[in-house]
Amino acid sequence: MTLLRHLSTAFAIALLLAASAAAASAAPAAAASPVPHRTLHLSADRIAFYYDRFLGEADGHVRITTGDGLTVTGATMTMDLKNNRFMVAGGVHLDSPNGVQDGAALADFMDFNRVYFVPITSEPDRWTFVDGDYTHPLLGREMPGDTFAFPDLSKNVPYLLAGKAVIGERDFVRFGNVVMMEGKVQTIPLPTYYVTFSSDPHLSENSLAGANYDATWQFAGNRNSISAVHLRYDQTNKAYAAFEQHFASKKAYLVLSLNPLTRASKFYNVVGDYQPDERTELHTFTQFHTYQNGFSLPQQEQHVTSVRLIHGFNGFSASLTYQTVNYCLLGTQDKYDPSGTLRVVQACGTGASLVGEPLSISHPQTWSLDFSSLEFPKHAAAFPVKVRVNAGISYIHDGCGFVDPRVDKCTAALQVLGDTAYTTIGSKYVGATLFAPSIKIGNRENTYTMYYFNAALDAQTTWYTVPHRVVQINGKASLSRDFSRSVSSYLSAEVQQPGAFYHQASDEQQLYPVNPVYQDPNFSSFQAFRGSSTQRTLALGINFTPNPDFVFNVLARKHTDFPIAVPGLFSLPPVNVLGAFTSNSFLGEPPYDVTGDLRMRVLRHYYLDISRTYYFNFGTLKWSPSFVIQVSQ
Amino acid sequence: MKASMKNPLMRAFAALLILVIAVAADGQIKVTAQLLDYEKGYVFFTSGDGFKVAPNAPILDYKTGAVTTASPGPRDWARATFDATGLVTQLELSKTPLAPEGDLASIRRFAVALSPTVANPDLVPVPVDATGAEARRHFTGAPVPVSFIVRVPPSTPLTASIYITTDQSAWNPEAIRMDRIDALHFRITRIFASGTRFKYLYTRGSLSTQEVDERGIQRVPRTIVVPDVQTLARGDDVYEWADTAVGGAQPQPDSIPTPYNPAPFPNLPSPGSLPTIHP
Repeated sequence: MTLLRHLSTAFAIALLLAASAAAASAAPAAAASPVPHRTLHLSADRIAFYYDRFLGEADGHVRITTGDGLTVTGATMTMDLKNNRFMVAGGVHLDSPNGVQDGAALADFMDFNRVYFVPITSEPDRWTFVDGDYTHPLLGREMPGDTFAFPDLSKNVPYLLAGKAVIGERDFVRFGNVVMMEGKVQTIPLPTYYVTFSSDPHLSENSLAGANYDATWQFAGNRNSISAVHLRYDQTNKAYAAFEQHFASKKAYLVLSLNPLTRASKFYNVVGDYQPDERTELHTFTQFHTYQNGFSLPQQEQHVTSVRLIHGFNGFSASLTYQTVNYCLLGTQDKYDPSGTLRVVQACGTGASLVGEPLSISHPQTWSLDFSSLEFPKHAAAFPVKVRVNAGISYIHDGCGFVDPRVDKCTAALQVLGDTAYTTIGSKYVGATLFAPSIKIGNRENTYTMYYFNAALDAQTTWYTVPHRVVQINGKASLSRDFSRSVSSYLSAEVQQPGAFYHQASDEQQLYPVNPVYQDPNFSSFQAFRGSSTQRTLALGINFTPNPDFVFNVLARKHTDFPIAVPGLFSLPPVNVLGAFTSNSFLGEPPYDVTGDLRMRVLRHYYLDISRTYYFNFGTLKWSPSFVIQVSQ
Repeated sequence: MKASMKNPLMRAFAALLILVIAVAADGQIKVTAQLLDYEKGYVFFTSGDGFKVAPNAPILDYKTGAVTTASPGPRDWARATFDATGLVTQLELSKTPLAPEGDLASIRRFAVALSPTVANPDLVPVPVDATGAEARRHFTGAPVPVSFIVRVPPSTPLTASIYITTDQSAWNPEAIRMDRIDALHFRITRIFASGTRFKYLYTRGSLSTQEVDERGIQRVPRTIVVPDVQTLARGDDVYEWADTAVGGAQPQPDSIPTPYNPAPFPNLPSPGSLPTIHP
């Protein structure tokens, strides 16, 4: 089994290297394409970048060289990065492979391989260079009406100022000698600043967890890589820094990160992805968690690696997944107390434990093979219900969950039922989803009086090789209506019924015991709980969107659950670093809650999200633990 | 039809009348325009046209009317005075945009060019329904309200937020937040200029929860080109999310997976940690 684990890890590492190699090889591949994206080098006395319009404006001693041997100088320049064209004006000097020429203005429409030029020979003229042929200009050819127009920027302020820039056509721009702007005020000087505007999202894939606020400085990059420092804030780590390195190509990407960089609890993340064709994807994730001051010897270290291969067949897709987790990579450490007594300190887990306490060396491995059908029927005009079916098998093994160092004996397993400890558990599942995407009700002539009905039912049963099965049924339906352009509402009902069933009553009682404390009348429903729960949620949502920069949503919910929620009986699920619950449904949800959610634009490039939930004095719970506040660009 | 024929004719007639009156009045034509360049005895407007400037033509400040030492340059605005022969006899400069004055089309006949104008086949409009020539379509740039309505998979949590991520926002996974309109649909309306073209994907707030295609594979971004219409409704289907697709959820950054738990309840109280309600 150890050999298997090492082979699996080696496979994951090989995949990472393959993805890295694929990313690194992308540049020559791009260069070999029929219409290569050129790289432009620009310098000027002052370059202003308008992020909200993807415009670059340069003034004073403008000099731009293109990848096809063209050098243009002039007094001013404007470049539309999205439309991939630039224009230089004022005392233009054109230096091409076929000679030099002065003129009044030059515009390069790079997507069309057209260069429009107003030369001044004995008199002005109009020349058009086609497909990079600077030897034979087309004379007098009519030009597009806006060829030499300057954009109106009277209502815009630049995002940054710079002295030079490298522009990767259609992909990125990297500025040098930068000063960031906020409004009309110059703020932070930076040596470089990189911006991507590629239509390929691979380079923007990330491996960081969420944060309430993230200011990213992409200080280096090109078509295939970005290096970035993140200054972040979240409610767990407070303010901290993180580092992320991206590599990407058309078919693969690789992201490495260290987050938080400036806290003792560090996560080293690697995400790799490779899509050799449109039907196949190989995805991997590896993470090391350490507790270490700076980069000193870690006091704790855990690891997880996951590899997933997905392939689409005709009518269904299949996924093969492998995951290995090591909850302790460091083992034990000998320490002596002042009396000289040897104490063995466990280096992983929630804290150091002493001699005699079980040591967690859990290292489960999971293999799973999953199948999922495509939606059918494809065209549901006559039959407004669509169906999906899924099934799979999995296998999990953990040779030793805990060990007692004194006797070197495993003391726990994946699951213990009766006298049997199971270190290997297999499972198989079958499930189906039925849903009616949208059924119109009422007056179809008037959008604001029409109702939409949606419904979905999802059911799945999982059988385990231990005498145990889990059934999960989830049904939901909603009725919605638009009252005006800015106000809409919906009423939704959802029922979830998860249940764990054991073949032996003794096994069931082991997991869901009848405890004397439940004899309290407050716990009457939990006393009857034997692993099958029913969670009903009735929700009313109201959306108010007067304009795109202001959104206010209210969601009011009523939960009617079995077992009945009793304050203090069920713990709240853990919250993530943003302060939001990590689980969407759980036992003991407060019977009533109302969530307000506000999003508005606070600065030119920033949106502020604020949300919080009120629980109507459920026990001591009035409000959700904290506001969920997030600033995004 | 009659009115549409009449208006251009009327406008052309009015422009001609103004031109004739202006020329007849003092033989001068005045137009305002933004400058592209001024050199070698020529002034160039952003139309790309170059005009001969008379020797010793005064350069004035537009606001004060006084002679200025500033040299006309790119991005400047100017009111140019043409004589009857098409020679620029005076330039009044301004650093701020000037109100339109005169008819630029009427002075094109004065533009100096060595070569006669030749028709450009690139500029022939391409029919809207023509394929493979999207980039050559002509758009007015008029504002168009575009509504995105997306059907999400049934696995989408009721408390989920849905966003649109686009190449216009450097693939920020929370670029455009959508509003839930029922159990399976979200919507947002944004105004774009016609001709706007961008790529986009739907996410649940992070790239690890972005949409995947029907095979569970990361999908190619969708593309939209905003046409010249009154309003546009764009309906999309999200087949599945990356973290709920076939194969189940993958580990997320900054969270070691929880140990194997045979119970389908994330917060089931364990017998050892039962509350003491009545001590």
